[in-house]
Amino acid sequence: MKTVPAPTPSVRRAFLRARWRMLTRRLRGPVGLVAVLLVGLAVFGLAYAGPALAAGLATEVQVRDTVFWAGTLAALVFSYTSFEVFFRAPDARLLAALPVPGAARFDDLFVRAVLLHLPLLLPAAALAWGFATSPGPHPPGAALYALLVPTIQLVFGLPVAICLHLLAGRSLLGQSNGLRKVLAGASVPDDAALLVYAPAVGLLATLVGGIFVDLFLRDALMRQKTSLLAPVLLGGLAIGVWATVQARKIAATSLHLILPRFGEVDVPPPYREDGVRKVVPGEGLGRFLPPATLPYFLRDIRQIRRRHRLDRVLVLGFFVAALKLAHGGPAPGWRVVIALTLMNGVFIVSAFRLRGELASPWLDRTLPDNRRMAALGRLAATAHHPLVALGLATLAALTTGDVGSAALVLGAGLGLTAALLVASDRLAELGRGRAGLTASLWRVAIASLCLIAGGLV
Amino acid sequence: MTTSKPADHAPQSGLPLAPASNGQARRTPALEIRGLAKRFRATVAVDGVDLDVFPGELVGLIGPNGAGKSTTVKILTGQLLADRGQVRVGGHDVVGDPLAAKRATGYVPQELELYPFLTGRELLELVATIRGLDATTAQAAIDSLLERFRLTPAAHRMTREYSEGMARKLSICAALLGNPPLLVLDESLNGLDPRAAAEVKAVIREELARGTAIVLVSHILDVLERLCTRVVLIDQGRVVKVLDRAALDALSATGTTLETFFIENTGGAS
Ligand SMILES: Nc1ncnc2c1ncn2[C@@H]1O[C@H](COP(=O)(O)OP(=O)(O)OP(=O)(O)O)[C@@H](O)[C@H]1O
Ligand SMILES: [Mg+2]
Repeated sequence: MKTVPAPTPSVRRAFLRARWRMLTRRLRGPVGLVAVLLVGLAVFGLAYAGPALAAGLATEVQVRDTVFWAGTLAALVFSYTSFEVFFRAPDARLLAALPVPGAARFDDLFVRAVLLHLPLLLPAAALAWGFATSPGPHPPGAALYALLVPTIQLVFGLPVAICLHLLAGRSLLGQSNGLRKVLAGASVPDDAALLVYAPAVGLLATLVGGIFVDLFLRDALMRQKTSLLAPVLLGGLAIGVWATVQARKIAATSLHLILPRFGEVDVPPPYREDGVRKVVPGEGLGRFLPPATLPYFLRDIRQIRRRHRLDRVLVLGFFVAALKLAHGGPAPGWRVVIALTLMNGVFIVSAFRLRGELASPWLDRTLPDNRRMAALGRLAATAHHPLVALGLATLAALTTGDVGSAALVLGAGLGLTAALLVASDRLAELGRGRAGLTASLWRVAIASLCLIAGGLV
Repeated sequence: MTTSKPADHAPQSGLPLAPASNGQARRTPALEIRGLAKRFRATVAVDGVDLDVFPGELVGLIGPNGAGKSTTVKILTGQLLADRGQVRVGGHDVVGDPLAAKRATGYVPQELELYPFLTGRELLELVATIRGLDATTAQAAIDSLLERFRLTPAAHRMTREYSEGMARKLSICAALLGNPPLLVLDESLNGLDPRAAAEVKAVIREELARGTAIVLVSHILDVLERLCTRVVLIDQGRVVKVLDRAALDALSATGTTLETFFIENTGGAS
């Protein structure tokens, strides 16, 4: 039997070349223009807001607080999205039957994960830029501190998160046990239990690691104990490299087994065992719509609810966060509004989902065309959760007893939510066929704007 | 073994579509399936399938919708893990030595997936690299495949601009790169115009003549009736009937079509 040795290096190069070609072609045409505009807007906004934000931070504690939140926001995003990169890659099916060495596929996805998450450092860079350029009252070393803390967090946090995802993925290959049943509860099949917890554990690890990085860098940069600098940087790098090596080893030996198993368990249990539930949350909204929009509305809301079940949990989590923001700190009303914008603009936007994984171009072309009704139904379906979030935000503001603040949340929140819904819908329509890319650009832009606004408030 | 051809491609003498002779017992099968079983929770999809496919054989898999054909194909191409049983391609276990098994398999899926922003040629180049072909061999193979499927004029266009038939032909080219000893075609005659369908059938004949083993899943029974060396009927996850060439000829001699046979033997399922 003639067996060709695994050609890992050339496969890796071939992937890189193909990815680069695809990216540059995707960016042609109006989407490229919008991309340039959005990125330009984000960069310009950050360059403007960085100094404004930095000027308001006088004490060491304020600097550390702000940097902590920038780092936490980034960690919150990458600990979850790195999972999507590895387990729900759009080309997974295409490559499944080809002899791709696990290590080469790991390298391909790892590069993708790193590039995708680099923009998360933009806010930190803007803040650092602010400290470096404005002569304000901030402590010395603040610029380097603001840049380095989130960077080191990304350097070790992203590989650790990826390693945890793959470990959890490998656990799918064993038999289910009692602990996993308990962990899984009612929300996921028990064989997938660890997958649900891996992102949260990754987030926790990043935040705990971040506390140490913060302490050491505070001493090193703001209290001039520079001998601490090198050990922290090298330590973060070492953890990152170690986690990458571990993750790559798992991928090399088991990725070809993990991905098929994941494909099988990636179906929520109510739909696997007792068929599909008849009614999804939010369907009642249909009563207020013109009858002709109903089929479009039901199609979209059912698909969104069934595919993105975590949205509900996110909205509840948001309520807790809104309660906390409403009770304390300066300008609580505005802070709730910004959190709401972040929620509705970054986490539960459905406009891109309906153009990407949930789209059915074939049906769209064959069914009688009623564009206005389809658009209305789609808008209503994408609006449901954001409106619930708005209601909860208002409720949170009301619990403080300050009616003015609640009115502010309701008014400003309603305007912003409507603007986000319409704008994301238009952008998604423009970026049809490149839904993933357009969605990423949109999220980066909105997240940056929210961060800027947060700093200004 | 004196030729420079790969050993898995034992060249066959005689007619490409000759009935499987008793000589096949001495050859090693290109595909061996033993006691294969797979269930999805309550659904038993595959329930103890055994099947050998020898070099130069074209085996047609038929059966009612939901019989377990695609599940079987997904397991033998490494996209799904079996609960029980063993699959070997060219002697390589699909779980134990997945890279060697996948290198020995050319697969055309039922639902086509291509990189929409790569051109046809670039996609084939990527697949050739993954399959371990060196650059010169790859270019020669790609040129001749594109020519053979009349895709040369479209080779520099992005695959998102391809029609369904073009995409299917490109997918077949990708499966043929590197001359794998086993071809698995899931509904590969769908969406092809008569000329393209004829081309694909011609390619199937050529591949059989070079000793490639082919598994073809299809509902187009009259084509299977004419082309196959063996037809395997699967129902509710089990092999219920096997018709070799002689049996197929005997069937048509009595004026019974494969369609009638199918309907008579799968009464229970929908
Ligand atoms: N991922 C899955 N989860 C649950 N059940 C599945 C899954 N894939 C297939 N099945 C079930 O397994 C059985 C066999 O399906 P399979 O796709 O193999 O049928 P098939 O013979 O290819 O049918 P068709 O001719 O319609 O393509 C069916 O009952 C199907 O519902
Ligand atoms: Mg099928």
